[in-house]
Amino acid sequence: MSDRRNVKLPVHSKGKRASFYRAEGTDQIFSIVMMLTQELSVAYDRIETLERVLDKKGILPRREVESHRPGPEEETERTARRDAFIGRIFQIIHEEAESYAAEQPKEASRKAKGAKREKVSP
Amino acid sequence: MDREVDSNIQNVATLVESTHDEYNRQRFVSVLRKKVLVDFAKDMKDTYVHKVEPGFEAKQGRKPKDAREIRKEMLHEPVFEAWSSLRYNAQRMTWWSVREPIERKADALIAAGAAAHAANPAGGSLRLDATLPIPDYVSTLDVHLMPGCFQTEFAPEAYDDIQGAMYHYGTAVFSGGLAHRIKGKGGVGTSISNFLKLRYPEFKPQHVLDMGCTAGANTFPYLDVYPQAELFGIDVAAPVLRFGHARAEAEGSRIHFSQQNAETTDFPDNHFDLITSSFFFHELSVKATKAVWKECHRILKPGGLMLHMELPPSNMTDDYYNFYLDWDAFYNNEPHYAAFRNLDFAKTLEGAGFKKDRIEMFRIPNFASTDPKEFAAVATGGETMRRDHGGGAVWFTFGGWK
Repeated sequence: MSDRRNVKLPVHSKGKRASFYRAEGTDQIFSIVMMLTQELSVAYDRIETLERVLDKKGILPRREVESHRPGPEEETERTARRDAFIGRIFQIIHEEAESYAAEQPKEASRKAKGAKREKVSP
Repeated sequence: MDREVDSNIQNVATLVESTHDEYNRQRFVSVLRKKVLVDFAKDMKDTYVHKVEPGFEAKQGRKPKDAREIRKEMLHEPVFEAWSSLRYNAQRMTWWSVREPIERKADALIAAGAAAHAANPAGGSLRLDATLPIPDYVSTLDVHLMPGCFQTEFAPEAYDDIQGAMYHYGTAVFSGGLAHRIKGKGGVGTSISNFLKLRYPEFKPQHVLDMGCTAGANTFPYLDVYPQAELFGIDVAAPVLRFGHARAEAEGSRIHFSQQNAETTDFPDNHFDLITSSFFFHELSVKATKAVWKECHRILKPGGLMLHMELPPSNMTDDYYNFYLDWDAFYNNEPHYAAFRNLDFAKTLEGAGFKKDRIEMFRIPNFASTDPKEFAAVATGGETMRRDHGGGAVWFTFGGWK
């Protein structure tokens, strides 16, 4: 059946949005984290579905997935991917650190005032 | 379903299909809600018992005197902030998890509903009244944070049952992680009807009415226990009634749905043997609740029984539980919830015409998740030690005989 009426259902409910945290933005971040958690769970479900279907069809036994351990070369590749992944997710933190690095000349005067700066590891 | 099903009619209650990921999003929300309502709720209570209450006592030299004082203390406890955030978001995610599948099937829902209505295989009926005003307590806020609430129509020229679908599929996700869930059938209606059959074997109601029936989940079970009954369901919102009617026809359940305000129905005096409702009054203003109880007394036959399921009144539960239950009044778009629970039920029932010695209040264990022997023992006079509504183990009911 074609959707000829093209019904669009509302996303938001009528009424004021609840707020539980005093610090502005925390409620929004909490919601985002929950949605992400949900998507993570859904992604895991899809992987599990794949494993089970492959197992059922005799293509790939699940225990083979479970017992798989990466060799040194594969581990290096994975490490690089994880590293890049973490870098992307926490881009905002890196950005802030970078902005300080760009203000190097001011750094000396800050230090003089006693402000402590941690060295940012690569 | 144990009833005869007309296989030529597509059932609106089962036609919405979710993708692999949508289904798993729904399952996630169900499990999340169970975690929040059972496991994390215990964490919050433990924090209250071991930290907040002793802290209050140390400062004030006494325990908090009521739910309001507990709330004030808890409001900025990290556990309350996190628990509330989890619960609030889980509530919104419930509706979001079914929104897209329903939207995709909107036309199919309308078409299947219209077909079931036209074919009318079960012999039930649907009577709508487009002029009926939607009361403020329904129209002001989207109750339960359900976008569009019960009454919004998207295709008013057609058999628009979409918000009925939203409620039906959404509530399946809502209670999908809890032990008391019976797929497709309301736990409240099932429990009350079976309780009545055991407790009053001679009571065989001919005319049964379910008020604020929405999509009828808790209306259906009365036909299982009282197959001879003429069963009626009323609600102010047309989309949920259309959905309930379409489902009933497809499933072979003869139910008469009509769009009416329970405060002033068009049923004759002394008409019903049994009037019931589930989770209804806490959405109404207290003024409306009082009017409905009077109306029930008017349309009830002498010798008939009114028995509603609701949240227990605040004078029957402890202060912490009141604080816990009243969360919905603040955050779930149910502003009348706390005022309703603060009513003196017995006095208000008397005010509605019920005689003091004819008032009934029962705590009914959930039928599907209770051992039949235990259920029967409670129904024939015992008391259940189970906890009140929350985990869904026990339904609080109240009312009276006319």
